[in-house]
Amino acid sequence: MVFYDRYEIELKVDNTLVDVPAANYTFTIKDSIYELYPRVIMSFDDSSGLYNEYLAFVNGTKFDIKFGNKDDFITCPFIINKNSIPQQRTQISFGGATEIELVHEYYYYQKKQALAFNDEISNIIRRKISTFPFHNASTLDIDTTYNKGYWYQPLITDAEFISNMLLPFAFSSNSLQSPFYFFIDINNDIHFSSLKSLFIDKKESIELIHKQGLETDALALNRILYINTYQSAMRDIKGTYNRLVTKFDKDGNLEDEQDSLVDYPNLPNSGLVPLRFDSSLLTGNIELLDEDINNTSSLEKNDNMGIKIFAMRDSILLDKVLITCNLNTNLRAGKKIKASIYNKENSDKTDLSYRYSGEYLIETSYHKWFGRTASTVLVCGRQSITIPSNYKNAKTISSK
Amino acid sequence: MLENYTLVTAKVITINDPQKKRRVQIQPLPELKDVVNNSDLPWAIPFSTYGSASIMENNLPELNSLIRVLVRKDWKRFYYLNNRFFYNIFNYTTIQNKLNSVTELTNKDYQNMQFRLYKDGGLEFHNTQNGDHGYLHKSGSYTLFDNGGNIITNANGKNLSVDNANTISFTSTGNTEITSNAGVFVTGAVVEIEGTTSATIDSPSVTITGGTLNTNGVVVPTGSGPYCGLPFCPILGIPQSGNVVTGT
Repeated sequence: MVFYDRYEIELKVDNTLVDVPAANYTFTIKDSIYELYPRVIMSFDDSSGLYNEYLAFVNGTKFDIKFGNKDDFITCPFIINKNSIPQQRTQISFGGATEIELVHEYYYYQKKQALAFNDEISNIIRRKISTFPFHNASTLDIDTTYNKGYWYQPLITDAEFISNMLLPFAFSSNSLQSPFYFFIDINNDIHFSSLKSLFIDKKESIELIHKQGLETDALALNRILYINTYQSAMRDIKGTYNRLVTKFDKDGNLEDEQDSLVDYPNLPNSGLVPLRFDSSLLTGNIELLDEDINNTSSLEKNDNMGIKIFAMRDSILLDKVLITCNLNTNLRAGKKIKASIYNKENSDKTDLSYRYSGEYLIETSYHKWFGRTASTVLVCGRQSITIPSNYKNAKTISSK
Repeated sequence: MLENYTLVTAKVITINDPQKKRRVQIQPLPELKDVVNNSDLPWAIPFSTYGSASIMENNLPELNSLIRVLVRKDWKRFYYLNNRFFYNIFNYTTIQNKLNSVTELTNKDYQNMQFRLYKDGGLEFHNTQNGDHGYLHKSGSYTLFDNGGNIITNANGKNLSVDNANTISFTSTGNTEITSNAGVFVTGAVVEIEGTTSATIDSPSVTITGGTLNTNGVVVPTGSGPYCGLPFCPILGIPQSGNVVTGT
């Protein structure tokens, strides 16, 4: 249903349309490349308590959401994960605002299994997820890995198996040492993709513009309303600045080498990493699989490459921006944006901020319905920047 | 680091490691209980070993037994420890009953006995209190070093062989006794029996055969016995006593 001639919003509970004004509820729908399931936090006005009385919001209830602009919206199936009425509104009824937490429906169908596989990681994942009606079921965004071997699912669900047993080892010689991500976005598309395919190789990006006094439609989808810039805290990523990587070889000798955050992805001369650290100081360590078993397969080496890369994953996109814009559900986790951010104080009078303009990967998206209006908040990240050489501090930060 | 590992129980599926590296193939239970093909199950290596390139041991767990296994949290490495203990499986009465056949054992108290019972039924044992030490074969034969230092071998009706020895020596400060319900046979290129005081052959029938009997000495005429004391015939004067008997 279209509201205010602008927004498309539709809620279905157990495939039945919830026929209430959109002003009666608010929600935030979220997805992230770091989390498998998209989630929703919703507040639903049930002053009379009747919805709850008639068990509309019990945990496990199927909840389909259609949300976005009237010509561009997403649909996604969820189930209720948690519900409560934290505050009674009147004394004569237990009703009030029902707080509902929703999680993607894929969670509901997870079952624990005790299985073994001898196959490529990407093949296993493709088989596992092909049974669920994801939006992209026919195309399945699965990047090929080179990790053929034995993989064990020890009485855990498929989601846990993929996220905890397969993803940390995923490696492709074509991925430029970039990590993999496994997530479902708010459009019910599932992805198992490397940073290379999500960001480095992706040609299309959505342009967003932030400019003071911009003489364009205030409701334009590409208009950045607010922007906040920040970086990952040093305490959270310092362990990856300069790592000692160790393992025991087949004769019991300790092998060690060092690597650095700037080595991942492997894109030499691709810009500057806005970070200062002393490369002579060891800041972290990681242990790889030892060669204590007789596995001379070259693919075991790929497993160790996957371990090295995955341990860097949360540090790579260290340069972040928090963008608030008009509701645009096309902006979701895993998409690439090109932000034009203007800064009147730039010395060359172009107004463009070199430091913050450029391409980012959407790590997390929040799409909020406030009852009458809506907005989108994005957490975007990238590793390297391109700035003019006359920036004084350009020489002091790390280069790729 | 140990926090990267979890301890599971697993059934031993195969101990015949084609690599002959002491690996065992395991089925963690219940984590991999539904794996249909045994060939897909993981191989575990010993968690630790007393050994190096020159010192080795092979002490594999029993097939189909339940063992403890340390598993990396990503299930890419498996290290087996030893068998899981189950209360009802261990039964000292089994050991005690077996040791009853070692009649020379005077003390079989539980707290004193260290032992190892093998799958084939053999039992190694040691009494930490009095020093009894031995091995009881499944057939019932045993060897015991008793607490007094005596070495007792009971073949329990089986054969006792000492083969291919250079020299076999029996030296005793007391008597050396050989007793047989059948026969005692001594065969050799040269057989000597020497008694520094006396030597006695006591048998209902004594036969000396095979060639020549040589006897030294002179007959002392006593008036009884099979030997004639006359060295020469008193009538003919020809020698009639001798110390060589041929055609035995």
